[in-house]
Amino acid sequence: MKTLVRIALVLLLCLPLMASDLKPDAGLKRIRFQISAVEERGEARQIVSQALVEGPPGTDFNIHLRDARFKMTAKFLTDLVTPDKLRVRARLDTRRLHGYSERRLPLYEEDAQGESFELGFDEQIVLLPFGRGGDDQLQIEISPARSDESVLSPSGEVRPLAIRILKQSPGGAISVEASRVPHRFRLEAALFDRGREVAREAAECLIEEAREVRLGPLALALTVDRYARDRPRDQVAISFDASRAGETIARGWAGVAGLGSEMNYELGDGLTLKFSIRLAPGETAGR
Amino acid sequence: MTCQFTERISQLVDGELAPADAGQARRHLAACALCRQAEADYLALRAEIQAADSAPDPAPARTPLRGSRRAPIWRREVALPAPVLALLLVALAALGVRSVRPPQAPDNAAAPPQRVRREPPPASDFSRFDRGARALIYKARRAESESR
Repeated sequence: MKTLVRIALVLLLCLPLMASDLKPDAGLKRIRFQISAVEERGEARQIVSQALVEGPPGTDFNIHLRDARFKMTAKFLTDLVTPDKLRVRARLDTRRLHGYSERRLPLYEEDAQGESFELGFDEQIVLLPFGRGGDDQLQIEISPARSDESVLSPSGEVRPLAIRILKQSPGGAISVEASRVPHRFRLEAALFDRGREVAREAAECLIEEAREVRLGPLALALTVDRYARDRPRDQVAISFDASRAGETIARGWAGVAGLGSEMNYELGDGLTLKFSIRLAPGETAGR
Repeated sequence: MTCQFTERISQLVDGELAPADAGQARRHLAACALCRQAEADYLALRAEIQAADSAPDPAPARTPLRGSRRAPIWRREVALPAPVLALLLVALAALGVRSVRPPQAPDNAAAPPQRVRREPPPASDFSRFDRGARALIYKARRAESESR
């Protein structure tokens, strides 16, 4: 009987620890990003628009800029890697009206580029949508800061994201949107040869970043492309390439499945590839 | 059956083709019965539209309708029960008294009302920044960038 009571006591003591794995640390502070579009003319600086995005670590945001001839979407994925450092992955897509064809159809010049930064809280990201050069320059400055507000509200719920527009751009030409989805996932992959398991591997992967995994004779490069809220289970979209002995046997294969459910792919020659994707330990769905 | 030149023939009839294209379309017209028929149809349609545009407006109906036996509204009689009439008179009197009393100013009405004129947001035009260069993104020390 004494043993049973002890076990019950130990379990009771462990409960808060187990619960803390499911919720973010109560002392964790939110991160704030100040996004300012600044027009520079020589020495003079004029703020064209300004917004604040605030949310828990892992908050992502997009900046859109458009006028009659130019359109830019800048997508920022952020992660707090150490208490003093953020990892920011940026992707820029621009489209510029180049002219018109003989048949009077618009011709566009499109460009896509990606950059990854380790960013301290005393640093900032500077984005020049139109590049450098000339006296007139438009630049977008993204400055991170720790907020005074903690991630959790007093009731223990994750506080929602907040966007404050401090100055709106003329005609709404520059806009900001923010979202929070899980970034870290645990991938489990298994390879079967005519129904017999020949290799199994697990790895952690980041959203929108290719993860290379060696699975027996196969070399895999898998990316979790997207996370979508859904009922009864959230969904993940993946894509992957697979090669064997230097020969590509799958390129750009893709799929969508519920979190934790299995995805099967027949690779030919009796080979079957099975994936399942879960949230990485410590990652929260953030509902 | 259709001919791929039929659209060109429509533009030729409307005088929208460049001289070189017009010459090519006319040469095609000489060789294609379908397009000749299409040209005739377009010309007939245009003539109909021009005829409709130039036709005078129909005369407005000025003649009043006759034969109505109902009296004009200002000569009609309305019968009302006495209590209803009394209620209406009391309501009218109350409205009259209310409109004569000066309205009480609200507490926050010290400042005169101001007309707010909303200017439409100016159209965004960033073309003065655009020299055709590629977008650029980099990391900077905050103070360094702010001092620039």
